[in-house]
Amino acid sequence: MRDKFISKLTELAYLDADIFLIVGDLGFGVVEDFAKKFPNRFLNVGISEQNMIGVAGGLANSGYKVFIYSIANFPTMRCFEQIRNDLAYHNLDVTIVSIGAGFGYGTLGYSHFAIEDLSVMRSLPNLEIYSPGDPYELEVTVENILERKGAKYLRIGKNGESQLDGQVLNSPLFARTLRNGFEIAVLSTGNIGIEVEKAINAFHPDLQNNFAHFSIPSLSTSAMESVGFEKYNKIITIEEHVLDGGFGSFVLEYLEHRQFSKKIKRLGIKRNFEYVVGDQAFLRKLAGIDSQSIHSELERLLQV
Amino acid sequence: MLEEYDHLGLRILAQLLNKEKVEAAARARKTALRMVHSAKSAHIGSSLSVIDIAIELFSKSLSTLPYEDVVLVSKGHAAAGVYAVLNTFGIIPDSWVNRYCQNGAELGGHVTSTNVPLLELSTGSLGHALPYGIGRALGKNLKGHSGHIYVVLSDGECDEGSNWEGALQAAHLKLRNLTVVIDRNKLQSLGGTEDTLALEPLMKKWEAFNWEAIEIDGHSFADLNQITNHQNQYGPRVFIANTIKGKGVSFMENSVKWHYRPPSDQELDLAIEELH
Repeated sequence: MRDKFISKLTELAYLDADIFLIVGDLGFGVVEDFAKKFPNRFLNVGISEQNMIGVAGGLANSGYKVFIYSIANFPTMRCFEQIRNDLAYHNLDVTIVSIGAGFGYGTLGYSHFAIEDLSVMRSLPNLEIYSPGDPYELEVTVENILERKGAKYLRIGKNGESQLDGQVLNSPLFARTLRNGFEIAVLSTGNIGIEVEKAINAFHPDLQNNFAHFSIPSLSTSAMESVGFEKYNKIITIEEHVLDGGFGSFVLEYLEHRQFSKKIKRLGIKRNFEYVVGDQAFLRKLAGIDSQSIHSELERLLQV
Repeated sequence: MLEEYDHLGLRILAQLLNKEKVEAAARARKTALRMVHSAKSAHIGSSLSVIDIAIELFSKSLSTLPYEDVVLVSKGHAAAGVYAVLNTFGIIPDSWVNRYCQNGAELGGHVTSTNVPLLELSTGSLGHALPYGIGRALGKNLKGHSGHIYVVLSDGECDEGSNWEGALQAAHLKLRNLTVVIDRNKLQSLGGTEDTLALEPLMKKWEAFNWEAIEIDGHSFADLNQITNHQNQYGPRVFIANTIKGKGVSFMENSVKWHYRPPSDQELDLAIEELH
């Protein structure tokens, strides 16, 4: 998804002279093209995340639409207070882009896991949170958020994600229907959606009709409204993130707000998960969010 | 904003002579004392320390079109001092000053930009304004906008690593429209800066980061005028402005106690009397 992000941003930068890209000394082999094409709208701030957020804020208040590119934990947790005070509170036009959602950089160890970012970012004022499920959703998201002023967080996968098969997405502020079904609403955010599709496809075709799968590209009320929860008896959420305060919690809070009484199950990483090194597929399996684990969970949900 | 600017006639205020700045500073000191007294709030020492610097910067900033110059008060805890200065210049109404730190008030104990012209960055957590100011200075350069960015740091604030990230960044970008002023009163929350986390040699540190560093008397307007004179400025400049915490009130000067303590009724009277 990182290549898609950069190619889309480069394309848009030709049309919009206010797009500015800041990188935190990351993006080797990814950002050079943008830097070469727009040297006056590109800045590598080195390894200085606190500085990076402040500089982005200042540029935004000078009229730029700033994108910050970094990976995993770095542009969120390392500089959390700068995001809180300088960007979110002042609602400046800065989009923080973090590559390698979840276990995307799993082999690099715990320091590089991006599995608590949604919870911390969700707690901030004004900040909009985007989490597209595949390169297509990402493309729609980047185009769309360019028209939206204010502070944003864009959480995306690393690279090589395949496209999800689903409905056209007009805006990341709506849910994208990947499949229609009757009984259970399956909600996923980010590129774990592909595991969910595999899990559903492993059912007999007659049973697959029970599942409606929605990819949720933004943690927004409008995306929740567009699901139409009243049509379903049961709901399951799947995220590559800790369960505490993450995507499933977001859905739960929405359901509470609307006073929907539904059977709900949340699948995600448990906070006491034993953190080991491994690639994304290995760690997903270990955390119980790979397609097989999801399949078993869906099977259980069908029976209750 | 333009209307307010014209209505208030701020250009006239900007042509203050140093003698008038001294008078304005004395008025602002009295206002700040009344504010912390009535609010029973902290940081009067820091406010009295920074008032002359603030007078110099805001009066200069008022001499340019609104928002051309940007003054960023990174030491947000000196809010009473900053608000008092802006009140002296007619930017903040008396009613707001009188409600300082009250429930639902416009102005709180740390610098907030909400509704206050000339303050565009709310601060309160230290080490935030320099990186922001760098982005602002760079943005102005790239967009061809005129005006200068001033960042006021406290000396204790130089403990924060983010300032040194910013120090590297500004020098790397050779920003000639960025100036930092350090309110060097040598005291921080619990004691002296050198006893807490030694900063000296502070000037050499900034010089080593490729800044032009200049030491001045932070209570002399003849010296403070240098901050706003940008002739021959070819990169980021830092002024280490030697100041006195609690400046102007003998029993508050150089005392850690007045970092937190608000004055009693009697102490307020004594302080105001000294400033006459």
